[in-house]
Amino acid sequence: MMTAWRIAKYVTKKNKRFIWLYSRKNLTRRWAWTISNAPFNTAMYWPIGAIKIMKGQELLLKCETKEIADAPQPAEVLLPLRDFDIKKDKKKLKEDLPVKTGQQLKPGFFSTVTGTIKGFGPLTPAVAEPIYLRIAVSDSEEIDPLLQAEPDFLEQEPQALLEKLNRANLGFCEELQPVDTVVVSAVDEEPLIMVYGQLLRENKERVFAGLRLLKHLTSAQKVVLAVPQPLYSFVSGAAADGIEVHSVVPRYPNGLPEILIRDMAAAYNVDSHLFLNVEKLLAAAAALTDGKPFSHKVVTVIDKQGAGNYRVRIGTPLAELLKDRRIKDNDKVIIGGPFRGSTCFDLSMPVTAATDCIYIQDENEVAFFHNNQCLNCGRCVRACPVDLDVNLLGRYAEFAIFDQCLEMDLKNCIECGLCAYVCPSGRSLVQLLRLAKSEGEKLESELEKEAVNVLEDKQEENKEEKDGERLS
Amino acid sequence: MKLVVSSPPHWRVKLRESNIHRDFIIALLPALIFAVYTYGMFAVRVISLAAAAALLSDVLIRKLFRKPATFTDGSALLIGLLFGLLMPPGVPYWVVIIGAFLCIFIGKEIFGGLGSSPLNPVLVGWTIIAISWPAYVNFSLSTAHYNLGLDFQYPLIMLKNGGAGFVSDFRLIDLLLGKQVGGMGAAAVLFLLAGGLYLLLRRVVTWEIPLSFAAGVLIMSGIFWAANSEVYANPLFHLLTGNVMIGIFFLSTDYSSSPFNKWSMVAFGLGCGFLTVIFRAWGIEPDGVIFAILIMNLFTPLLDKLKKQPRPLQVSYMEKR
Ligand code: SF4
Ligand code: SF4
Repeated sequence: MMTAWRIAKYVTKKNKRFIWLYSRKNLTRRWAWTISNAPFNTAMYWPIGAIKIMKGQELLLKCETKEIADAPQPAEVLLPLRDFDIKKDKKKLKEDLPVKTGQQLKPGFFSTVTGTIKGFGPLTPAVAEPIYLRIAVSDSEEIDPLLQAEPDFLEQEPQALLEKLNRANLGFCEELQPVDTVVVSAVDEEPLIMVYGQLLRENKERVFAGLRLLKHLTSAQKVVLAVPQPLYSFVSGAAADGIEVHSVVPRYPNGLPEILIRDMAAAYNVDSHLFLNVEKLLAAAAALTDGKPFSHKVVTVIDKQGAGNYRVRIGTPLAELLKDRRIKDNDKVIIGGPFRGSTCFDLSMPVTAATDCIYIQDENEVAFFHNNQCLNCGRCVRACPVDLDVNLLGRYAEFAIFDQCLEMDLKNCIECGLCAYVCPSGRSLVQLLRLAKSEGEKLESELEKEAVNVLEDKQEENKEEKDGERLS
Repeated sequence: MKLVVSSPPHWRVKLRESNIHRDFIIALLPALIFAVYTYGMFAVRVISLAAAAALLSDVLIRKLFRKPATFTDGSALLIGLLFGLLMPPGVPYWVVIIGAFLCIFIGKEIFGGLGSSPLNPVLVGWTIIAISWPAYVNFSLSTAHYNLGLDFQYPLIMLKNGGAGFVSDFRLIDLLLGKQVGGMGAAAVLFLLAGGLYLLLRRVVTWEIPLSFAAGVLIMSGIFWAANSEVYANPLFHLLTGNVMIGIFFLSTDYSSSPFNKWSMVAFGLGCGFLTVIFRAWGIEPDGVIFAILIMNLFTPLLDKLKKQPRPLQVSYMEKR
């Protein structure tokens, strides 16, 4: 009885709302709830948590329903400029120049809003790169007249369609290559993200229209839609004529494109493929049926208070999107998921076409990594989805033996972050591997140069020899 | 606003290296209590001396090598405790101190500290002691003046000298409950088993090595027993005597000296089991567990090649990201 009271006290101390817990029956129920919902982390401390560890609760991809709400229109958007050339661009993109949504401003660079250009700017004075174009947003929206709806797109030439798609800011390549399989993924890449699953739920018909479009566009034999297991029964009925549905176990690395393709390669005889996610697919379908450019991105925003899905104008500064979230000093704002996301250093950074998730991590949840010694426990090797010897790679990188790293297939690493996640010693493995990758690239280019030099020297020597022979 | 910036990942499991050693020590507690209960102050003396000597030599050696102190992570304490539990109760104090020092110095620190030792540090120290001063780790002599209420000698010596007929008097249930002569902790079979199950449940140790080690012992001794049951003892006797149980859960599973890929672990465990029984049947020493594990430790880098080799991944085109 004594212990029951203590547990009850502990639980109520943790969440004061549950005072009703003091009755014993509720206590057990509440306790069971706490155990089954405790995050992976805390579960590790209890013997009973062992069962959790086997399942790896934290790695599960959440396939929850989360309505997508429209985020308010920003006052200004920031678009990252590729291949910035200060003279040319300043002449072309003058201040106060009116632009329309979807208007091409320079090759491969489109406006996502209607408004007027407000000039260039680095984000903060300390950072010179990347350079952003600022556009002030006006109230009414006008779509570029070049974009038109093409309801009968299935009858048009693929190459012409591709050009139309690229005009709608989809960023595909210029020329079609023959592929045998098109893979469209509706599996969210990382835990916490709930974008693709939700999009599939809301736009089932559209997705299949888009799949038919892709089949026509690439003339591939198979188009495969990869969906997380909980959604399989929802879409499997619609599979028909060359469009297949593949069910994926909703667990962390399974949603990453590289892993997804590798796991499907055997089952579907994938030789060459084209990979798209559902959002790009829907954007492509919308570009042809409605004549709309790719101007909005669905983003999951997650913090301690809860998660929400928002349809955000591409280029919206994070500060505007996160207006009503509480962010303190020493918090971490992660652009992307908890495993592969990059951290934000300034809240005026914009949402880009690749932002799936904004994850605000509280100060006391921040994970720390150190330069500790490896225990050789092998957890990283067992966790690595591409079977690298991460314990050795980490050591080689630590002691700057980069050529050995290259020999051990370092380039296969997809930076999924699982090795550093499981390491009990807290080694910053991903950081080490990234260092080794960049240093290894330098090393390789040097080696190549050397090889070329040696070849040239030899040729010259041969020439000289021949000349010498001739002379003699 | 000052935001925290770092490279990914942004999550990390709560498991820490000190938690691992703490779990190992917790798992050893039943056997420790058993040792103290059976041998009284003699056990307290030897085990605490071993633990203290190990900790102290860890601190001193790291100071001497000008490395940061790591005694708080619990690995030195674990090595000391395991070394103490392998000793018989009557061993003189200087043997314990030298042994614990050798475990830390030659077993662990010389190779670069935690995680780098190719051989299990405890076994390195034990082997040096057992070869240099065999008289003091001889169970029959050093336990002779303890009245355990048992008439028996060290079961494995009896097996060595007299064959299976000599040891048929041992009741398996007595062996299981630790009513046998042996290392102070190593004899507490049931208590070690409880600790081992705790380790398995906490996933500090995975099932592969313990299970395949036990299977290896059973299979090999089963073969011998089937061949000649008058000379060779039955498989369960082998499993419950000597250092097998402490070897299965605590010695062979040492991270730095054992493989960590699934099938390598299975091969490692089977090898340990086979060699144990072979050494017991044909070797000079009565118990072969420690030598078996040491020899298999040497094969660890080779065995770790038994895994899927990385294959290049396919690259996609069309989408710039
Ligand atoms: S980040 Fe680590 S676990 Fe992931 S692929 Fe690279 S080495 Fe393997
Ligand atoms: S998980 Fe960490 S401690 Fe374990 S082998 Fe890998 S790098 Fe070493």
